[in-house]
Amino acid sequence: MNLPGALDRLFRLLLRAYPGDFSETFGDEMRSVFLAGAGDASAEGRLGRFFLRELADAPRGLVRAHWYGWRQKWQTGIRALRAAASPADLPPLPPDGQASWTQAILECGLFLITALLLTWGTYAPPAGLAPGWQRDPVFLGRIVTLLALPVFLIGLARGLPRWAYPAGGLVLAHTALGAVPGVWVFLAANLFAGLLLLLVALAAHPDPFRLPTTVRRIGRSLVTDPTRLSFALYGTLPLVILAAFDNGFTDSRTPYLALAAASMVAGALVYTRAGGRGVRIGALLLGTAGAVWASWLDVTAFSAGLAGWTAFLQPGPAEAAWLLRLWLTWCALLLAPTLPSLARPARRI
Amino acid sequence: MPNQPEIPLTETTYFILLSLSARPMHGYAIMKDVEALSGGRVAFGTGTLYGALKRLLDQGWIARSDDPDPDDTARDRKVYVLTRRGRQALETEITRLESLLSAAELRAAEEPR
Repeated sequence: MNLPGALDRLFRLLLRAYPGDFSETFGDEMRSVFLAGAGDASAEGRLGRFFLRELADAPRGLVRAHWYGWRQKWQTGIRALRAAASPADLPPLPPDGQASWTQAILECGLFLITALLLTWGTYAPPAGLAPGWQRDPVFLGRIVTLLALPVFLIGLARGLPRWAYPAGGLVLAHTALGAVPGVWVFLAANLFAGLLLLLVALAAHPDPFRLPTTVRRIGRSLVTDPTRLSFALYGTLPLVILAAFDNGFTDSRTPYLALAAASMVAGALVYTRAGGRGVRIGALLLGTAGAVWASWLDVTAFSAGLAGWTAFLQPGPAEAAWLLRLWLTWCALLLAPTLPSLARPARRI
Repeated sequence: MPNQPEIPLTETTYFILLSLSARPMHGYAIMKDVEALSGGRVAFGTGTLYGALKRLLDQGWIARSDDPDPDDTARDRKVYVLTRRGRQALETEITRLESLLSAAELRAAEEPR
């Protein structure tokens, strides 16, 4: 085989590596440009240089073409999702707590109830409450299921208003971290697969695809404000408080658990009343910090018992490291939903 | 599509738009013209050229059509034409570059000899 023929064959092979629609549109043109360039370079005695340049350019061109293709598909899917969740023919969103105190109390309801239950069960436990209930996943599971699951399901049916988010977070967190640790992988994998399928379906058939009204309302609720997902994660705080105070006993508890519960409620209340996104996230972070670091005070004062709760002792470094990790993890989780909106790269073509 | 052109342009985009501002061209002509315009400094590979052309087509800055004047060697050749939006983006970029250059000239004139 002569040299131009071999180069042509090689280039045709390279074209197969491009995305299908790209090579279908530009493949013939690219080939004729390559052959014209090779012909001219050969006539001018610089075929080797030309070929090296093409060789060096090929990986970059391939990566860019694939990346651009994927990005376009992704953006098409997102656009279609937004169109499918369009509020044009949907009733307006239910008001959030910012609009009224009644609504704010409703949205903080889960935190108020769990704070009351935590303090009641710790400082004045009813006679039938078994000691060590804080570590009993079955007991906690019943409480969480009774408290949060109906609220979450009603919320889902009503298009996921903001009051349903903490309940969803608490149910999912208990499922993930509580009685059946392996279930969260199953749930996460299903959720991810569902979202992926939805995006693929929307990208493939963006126009005729219409989602059911309830799903569109849920979609609209999710895209209204990314801090709503943070609020859902904040719903796990009652379980985080229990985990942070797990080395305490009901008969020697310091007042710091009450402080942690109060911090949780205060964070939720400020979140629901705040207008700006920054204030909302700040409230959740401060509420979490107060809840977790109150347990630090609990650990330092724990050995002295309820009577001597102000007598601070030195906690072990392992305990301090564990609490720090817990706090940082939850702060990172709370911030995560807002990061995509902060990290929009500048567009340049 | 965005209403405002993304400025500054990449060098690849700038040279392709500048090349097409003279007349519609096919891919290989663009490649050669850009090389000539840049004094041999900018030489695209085929992959880079067509990746950039696809992005510009999607952006609506250039259009693609059949070659109105095909020669014997070319099969079904396409030419690329600068659109109004593309020309507007190029002019905005040239204005930006001119302002940068005049700032540099002003500073150079101020410096003591």
